[in-house]
Amino acid sequence: MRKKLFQILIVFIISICINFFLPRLIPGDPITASLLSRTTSGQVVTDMDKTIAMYKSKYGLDKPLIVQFKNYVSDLATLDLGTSLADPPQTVSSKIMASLPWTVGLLLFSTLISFTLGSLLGAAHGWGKAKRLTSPLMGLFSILSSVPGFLLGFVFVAIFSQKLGLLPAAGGFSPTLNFGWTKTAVLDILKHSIAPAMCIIFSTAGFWAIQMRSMTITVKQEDYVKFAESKGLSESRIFFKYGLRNAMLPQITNLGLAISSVISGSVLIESFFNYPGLGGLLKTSVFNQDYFVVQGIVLFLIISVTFVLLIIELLNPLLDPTLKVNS
Amino acid sequence: MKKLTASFYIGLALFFLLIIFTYVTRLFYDTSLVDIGSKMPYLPPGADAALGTDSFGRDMLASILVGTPSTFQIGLIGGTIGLLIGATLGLISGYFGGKIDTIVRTISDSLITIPSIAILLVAALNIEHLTRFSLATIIAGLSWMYPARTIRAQVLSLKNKDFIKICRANGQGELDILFRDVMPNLLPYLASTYVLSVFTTMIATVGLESLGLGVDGDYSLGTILYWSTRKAAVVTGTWWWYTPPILVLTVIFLSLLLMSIGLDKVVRPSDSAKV
Repeated sequence: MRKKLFQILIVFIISICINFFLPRLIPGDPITASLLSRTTSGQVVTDMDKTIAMYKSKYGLDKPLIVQFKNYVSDLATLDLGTSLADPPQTVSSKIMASLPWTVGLLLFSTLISFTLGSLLGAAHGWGKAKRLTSPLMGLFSILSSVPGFLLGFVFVAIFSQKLGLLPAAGGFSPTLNFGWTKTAVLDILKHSIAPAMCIIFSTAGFWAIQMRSMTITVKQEDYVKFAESKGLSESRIFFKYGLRNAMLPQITNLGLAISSVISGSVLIESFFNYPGLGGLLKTSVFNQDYFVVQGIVLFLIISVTFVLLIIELLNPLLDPTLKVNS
Repeated sequence: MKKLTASFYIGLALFFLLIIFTYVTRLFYDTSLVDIGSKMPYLPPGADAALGTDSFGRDMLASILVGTPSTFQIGLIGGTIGLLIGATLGLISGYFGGKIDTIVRTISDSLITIPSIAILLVAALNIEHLTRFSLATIIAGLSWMYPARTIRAQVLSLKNKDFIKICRANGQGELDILFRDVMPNLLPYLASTYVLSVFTTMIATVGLESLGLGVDGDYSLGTILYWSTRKAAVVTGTWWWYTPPILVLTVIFLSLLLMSIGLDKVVRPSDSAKV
């Protein structure tokens, strides 16, 4: 347990170091590049050199690397991630905070559904009952999980919004929406989240199913399952209490390992749908060369993954009593 | 060794058919039609353009023929580098254990938890002239952990087997044992992780390209998808713009999936045999 927590701390430190050193090791000057591209696209930037110097001294880019790193860490501690280059008065943190609820809502909701659905399907298939029903589903979800989720976005939008006109094609809410806890507002937001959520669910459920399937096969051969069978316990009781519960434990660990690729995938899905979450913000910031916002989001992703890992680590002993005994 | 199953061969055949199809068709088709304004924009598939044209007047068939090799190349290069790094580290850390093992495992466990898209974005935004090789190398640097884990686990189970003990008793050198006796037993695992490495590299590449980043001046399947999203092809009903790259990508990913399922049955016979 303590070793695991230490490891999570190391992950965190390595990540923030990569985020700091990678851009600085690579030749090139993001601020100059960003301001230059702004002038070429027609925006007026007066006193180019002065502005660049101003930005550089503001972010301490003219100081030695070690001082920069110190500033970076202290800025991190106070969550001061700088100002957006694209629309200057706004801070990076405020932009991230504004888009955070969208991402958390979408990701939490769809990952929960996908995880439950996939795990149940995999367990049922691995247990070997009702194969006629589970086999085609397993095949379908395995194929879908091999394709990047945002490709499904094209298909969903083409069918459900282009052809049938049932769902909106992009965005997180209607442009005319008045925010508030009204029925129309909630329905509108839900309606906009269906397509991206389906993309996440369909592209990840297969992964959980495959993992769960092989786990269940292993558990099914265990002696305690055979013992339960010979005691004459009902099939469903053996499946849920003996099979599912034990096969589920490694699955929770898998969740920790897979969370980074789930986040990577949903960032792309969000940006495909121009969803107002972090993925959508990332896309516009990349497009606007809004350097500090991109770096802020990257940092934020890293922090949230470590946070999720921590939660899983703390949850694990609750689910698996043997862990408690051992530590 | 167990025999390879049909799904592996079907996947392999699909993969090579696609490569052959792309490269052979390129010989007969004018790929310079990929240039902007070479045809009328928004032509639906028909006599003037077999697969239609996009909003810039690019011929779609030419786009696919130009774009597919790029995705293949990055995938194969990145997959190879990833496998080389991962397998070597996995072999060493599994076989020798001790401090090396701890270091390799800590780094690999840390890297595995960082969303690769995040680091890829930082790199792609900062590198001014990204080449196919450098992109493939960066992706490989972010995905070697998967082969490393698999190979390490296998080496751990192999190194205390009797035949290895006999080699050691005969006075064979450690490196000699590692490469001549341990390695051949890992071949199916190496093959299976290689497929997965290629797979992850391609997924990462296409994802990055779909955000409008990627290799400088490259026109690839992901780039086609990026422009079709930028120009709202789905909403304007220009289905021939995004369908071809999606189909090609699906065939690529499906072929890799089939290969990996086929290899999995060799690697983990217990899973499939007893169901």
